[in-house]
Formats: sequence, structure tokens, C-alpha cells
Amino acid sequence: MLELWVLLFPLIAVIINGLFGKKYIKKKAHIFSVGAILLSLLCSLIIYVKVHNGYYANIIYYKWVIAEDIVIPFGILIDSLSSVMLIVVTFVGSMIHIYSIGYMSHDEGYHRFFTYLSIFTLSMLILVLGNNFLMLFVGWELVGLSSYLLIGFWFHKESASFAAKKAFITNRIGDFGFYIGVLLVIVTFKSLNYSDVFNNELILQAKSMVFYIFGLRVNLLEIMTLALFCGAMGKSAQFPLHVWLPDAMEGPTPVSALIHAATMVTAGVYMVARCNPLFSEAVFTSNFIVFIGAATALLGATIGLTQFDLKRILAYSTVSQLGYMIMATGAGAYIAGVFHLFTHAFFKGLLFLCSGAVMHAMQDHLDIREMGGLRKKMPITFWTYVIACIAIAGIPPFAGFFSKDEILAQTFASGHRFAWFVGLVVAFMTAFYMFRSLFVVFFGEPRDKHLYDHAHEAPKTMTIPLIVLAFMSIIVGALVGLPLENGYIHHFLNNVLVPENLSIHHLSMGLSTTLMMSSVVVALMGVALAYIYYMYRKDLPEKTAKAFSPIYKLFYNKWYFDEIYGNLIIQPLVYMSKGIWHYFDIGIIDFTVNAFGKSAVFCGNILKYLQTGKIQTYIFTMVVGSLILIIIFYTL
Amino acid sequence: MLLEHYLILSAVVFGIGMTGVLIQRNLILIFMSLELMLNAVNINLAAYSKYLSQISGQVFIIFIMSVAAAEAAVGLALIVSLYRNKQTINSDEFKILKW
Repeated sequence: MLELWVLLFPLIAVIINGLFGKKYIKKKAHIFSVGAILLSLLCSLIIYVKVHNGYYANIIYYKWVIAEDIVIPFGILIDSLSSVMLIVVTFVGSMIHIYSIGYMSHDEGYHRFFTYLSIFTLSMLILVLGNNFLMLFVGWELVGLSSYLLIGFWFHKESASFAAKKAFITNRIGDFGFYIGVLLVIVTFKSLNYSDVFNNELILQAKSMVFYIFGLRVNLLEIMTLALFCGAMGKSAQFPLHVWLPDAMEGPTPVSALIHAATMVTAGVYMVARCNPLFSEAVFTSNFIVFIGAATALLGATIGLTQFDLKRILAYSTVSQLGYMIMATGAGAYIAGVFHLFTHAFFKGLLFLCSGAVMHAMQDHLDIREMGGLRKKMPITFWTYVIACIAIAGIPPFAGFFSKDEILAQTFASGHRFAWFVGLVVAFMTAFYMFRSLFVVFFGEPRDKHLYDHAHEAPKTMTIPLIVLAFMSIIVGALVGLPLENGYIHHFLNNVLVPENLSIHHLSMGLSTTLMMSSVVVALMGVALAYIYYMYRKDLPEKTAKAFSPIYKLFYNKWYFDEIYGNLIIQPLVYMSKGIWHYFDIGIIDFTVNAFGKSAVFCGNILKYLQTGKIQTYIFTMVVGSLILIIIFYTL
Repeated sequence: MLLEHYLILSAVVFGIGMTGVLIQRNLILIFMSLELMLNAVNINLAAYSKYLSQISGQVFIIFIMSVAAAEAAVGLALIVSLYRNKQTINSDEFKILKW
């Protein structure tokens, strides 16, 4: 029953807030939503403890879809992976809920906001808890819907409604692939239940079914996993579908935190990890995933280096960290990927909540060039931000170090040396741009005197979540990640996720230590460089930008992705639609329909003269008609 | 007398009535021609009632006569009303219901 209550609490909050929020609850909407997620958190913690003691559940509540021999139940699967995801979603989620009480307190749509937050939580929980692909898909789509609602929360702002549409449509493209993947699963395995699908014999059978597409030899499993991965590319914002994530900044900041840290973007990583029996058999797909992950990590980091909008810096850092996770899953290090997802949720949630507090203090100004010296005005935000920066940069003993180190080491061990190198470069860039934002925002002299004078520390409802998340960002990595590469989380997850490439243990002690040292050194170098650039020699950033002007422009304009998509895809589509509208719709369809109408009017205009208004004409017509009928009747 | 004789009489009366309805312009005369047509039908019904030895035909005659009486009352009232409007009962004057 406990498992179901995790879902029911947010559902109840959605129903109550959705039905009565506008008229009766209004500014008290947080009671239900926050209460619901805290209760869900409690249930999740109990479930976690039970799972820790060896509990496993695959509960079927009822048969949802019955189509001949295919039966898809409404069921819940509790194992170590879903319990970890539950903790992430409900813990970080509840911190964000609490934070929203303070952050949204002056907003008109207070009740609406909390209703949407609960829908978001609910959909993510459905996605995580389902025991079959259909429930995963339902959660998947619901998450897309609720992200649309939340990104477009301030729908009167044109940019927000555009961003919401962009997120929704970009996700649809990925979801289309995911949908095909699910259909292939149902065709191949005649079932959608995880327990039926993850069957080694059937997977090997699927692997042996070979097709030739355009002369390329591919097997069914590769196609299936590639299609499924398409969905992950959309949801987890992987290159080339990453464009929606930075624009999702248009929503309120707690939403950004929720999308980037606890929910939504982790869905893709979760799905790949959940389907690891499929993915680990598909060699081509795995290599493809590593490539996409590394490309995304590099792309996100390079753009993050040059942005001036605080939330955009964080958004691109999310893109880049997601690239890490996806890269890890592709390299077979599923546990490391999930581990990074776990730690990332805490410090990325923290970073976004800090940026929200800064935004609050700066009257919604987000350009880091207008900030500066906020350290003295907002001590709590400052210190928590420092912790988050250290964590994301991967400096021990904070959370990010453990997971990032594992990803790098295992990518190296699995033989993807180039991806490892890219990862190392990205780690350097991550440290650099995170500390760049830290130094520019919180140190130095205030750049805008007026804004600085009005800045103030955030209220308690906002700072408490910051402190809790900061605390977690410090300890959570060491707590579950020690000893390195063989920590608690490995023992916890290895019954669900295939034990990653054991080659890690073949690496000599010296080599693995060197790998670890290299990632730490690289991170410290990033920090040092950021210090030199933004604290010591403040003329250097501009000089560097001038010296490498073409590259700087490329990065600053986000590799021109929006422009490329706009010119290559959107504009042709618009022109094509306009052409079809003018020539086919108006020229053919409208013309035909109008012609029918006009011919009726034309005939009516001629025949109307038969209606003379004289009774005797009518009677005469009737008599003649009857006579004709009689003649016809009697002569035939 | 044979059935045919009655039928021919009925047909002739009906034809006279119909011709009157078609060619007359005076509403009263049209009205009278209509009554003539009704009575032609009555003759027909009476003849068949006798010929087939069935009473139902004569029952119909009673109905038709009573309906005709009612109709005459309504029709004459209408004609009076029309006359009050236009000071004429020429049917050609009442052709406003047209395109």
C-alpha cells in the first residue's frame, strides 16, 4: 500500500488545488502540495529502508490494457533503482516546493503554480514507479505536459509561451522515436512488462534478427535501442535536441530547479539505466550514446563559458552534466551514471535555488555583469553557492567529485579514451565557468549601485532549503560513493543494473589513482584560472575574447544552433506550409467547396422566378403535374 | 343507372370546378368552384357506396360536408378580411408572397 500512497498524495493535492484553488484556497495552496510531497518523501524513505533490507515488489493493481495475449497492467515496481529515483524526486522536489512558498508568495497564480508542481511530481513518480513501458511512456508524456505548463507559467510573457512551445515540440520529436521504440518492444517481446522484456534469451533472439537498411547490416535490438534513446535525447536534452533546455529558463526559477535537478531531464538517464539489459547488448547504440553524451558535454560546457545570464550558465552546465551521465550509461557504467544523477540533483537544485535567491535580491535582473559583491549582502546564499560550485567542479570531498570521477575512470576503463579526454576537458571548463559565475556575482565591487543597495537576503522559507541541499551536497557523495568505485551505491544497485565493465578492476592501482588525481588537478586548474581571470587580472577575459574572436562568437551564440534550426528546418516548414495553404488549401479545397455553394446560389437565382405569388399558377402547375403523373402511371 | 353514369357526372362536375378554380379571378367564384369539386367527390363516393354496398363511403360524405361547411366559414371570413385590406377580391392583387 505504501507504494501506492507515494503516488496518491500528489494526486490528492492536484485534485484539491485544481478544483478549489482558484476560489477557496488561494494563498494557502502550498499546504496541500508541500504536505503531499513531504508525505511522499516519508513513504519513499520508508521504502528505501525496506529495499535496503532486501525488499522487492512488483505489484499489479489491475489489468489496464487487454488485447488478446498482450496484457499491460497498472503496476508498480519497487527495486533499488526506483527507490533511488524516488529519493531524488521527492527529496529535492520537497526542498523546491518549500522554497516556492517564499519565491512565489507575491504571484497572482499562486494556487495554479502549486497545482502544476504537484502534477509534475505526480507524473515523474508515475514514470519512475511503473513496472512496464506503457506506464513509463505515460509518465514520460505527462512530464512533457507539465513542463509545458510550468515553463509557460507566465504565459502573458511572449518569450515564456514561445519557450514552452519550444520545449514541448522538441520533446515531441524525441518522443516520436521513443514511441517507435516501445512499439518495437511490443512486437518483439509480445509484452511491455519489464520482467518479461528483460529476458536474456529473448534479447539474444532479437539481436540475431538482422535487417539490411540502405545496405547497412543492423539487428532489431540496435534499432529498438536507438529508437528508445531518441526519447532520452529529447527528455535529457542531448545534442541535437538540447535546444529547449536553456530556453526553459523562462519559467519561474523553482521550475528550472525542478526540471533541471530532480525530474524531467533525469527521465532519459533513468530510462536508459532501466533498460540496461537491452542497451548493454546493443554495441553500436552504446557507442553512439557515448558519442552523443561526450558531444553534449562539450557543447554545453563551451557555451556555458561565454554566457552572461546567470540562469543560462546553469542551464548549459546542466546540459553538459547530462552529457556526462549519458556518456557513462553508453560506456556501460550505468551505476556511475545513476550515481551522478543522484549527486547532481542535489547540487544543481541548490545552484538554481541560489540563482533564484539572487534574482529575488536583484529585482529579477539576471545579467551577471550587473551584479558583484553580493557576498556581504547575502551570506547564506553565498556560502551555499560556494558549496554547490565546489561540488559541481568535482573537488573532493564534495558530492560531485565521487560521481564524476567514477564516470571518467570507467569511461577510460571501458576503452573510450577519446570520450574520457573530452570528459576531462569538460571537467576543466565546468570548474572554470562555475567559479567565474561565483566570482563575478559574489565578489568584487558592486557594478550596479542602485540594485546593490536594494539587495537583501532571501526569507527563511527560501534559505532553509538552500542549507539542507548544501548539507546534502557536501555529504551525499562521500556517504554512498566511498570507497571509490566500490561504494555503497554499487552494492545497492548491482542487482538491477548490470555490473559495469569490470575492467575497472583490471586497471592497476597506480593508473586509477592517476585518473583520479588528473580529474582533481584539472578541476583545481579551472578554479585557479577563473580566479586569475575574474579576481586578479580583470582585463584578461576581454583580451582572450578578442584574441579568439571567431571561437568566442561561436560559443557565445550557442554554436548557432537556434539559427541553424531556424533556417534549415523551421523556415522551410513555414514556407512549405504557406505554399500549401495558398495553393492547395485555398486554391483547391476552398475553391471546390465554394464552387458547390455558388452553383446552388446560381441555380436558385434562375429558378426563383417560378415563385410568382399567384395561387392559380401553383394550382395549374399542380394539376398539370398530376395529369402527367397519371399519364405516366397508366401508360407504362 | 350504371356506375359509369355517376362517374361521368362526377368527372364533369369536377372538371368544371377545376376549370373555374384555374381561370376565375374573383375569389368568391374560385371558392364556389372549390365547393363544386368537393361535391363531385361526394357524388363519386355515394356511387361507389351504393355499388359496393358499403356504408363507409356515405360516412365519408358526411365528414366531407361538415369539413366543407367549416371551410366555407373560414374561407369567407378570410375573403372578407382581404376585401377590407385591399378593397377588392381580385386574386391577382394578392401576389405579394413571391421572390
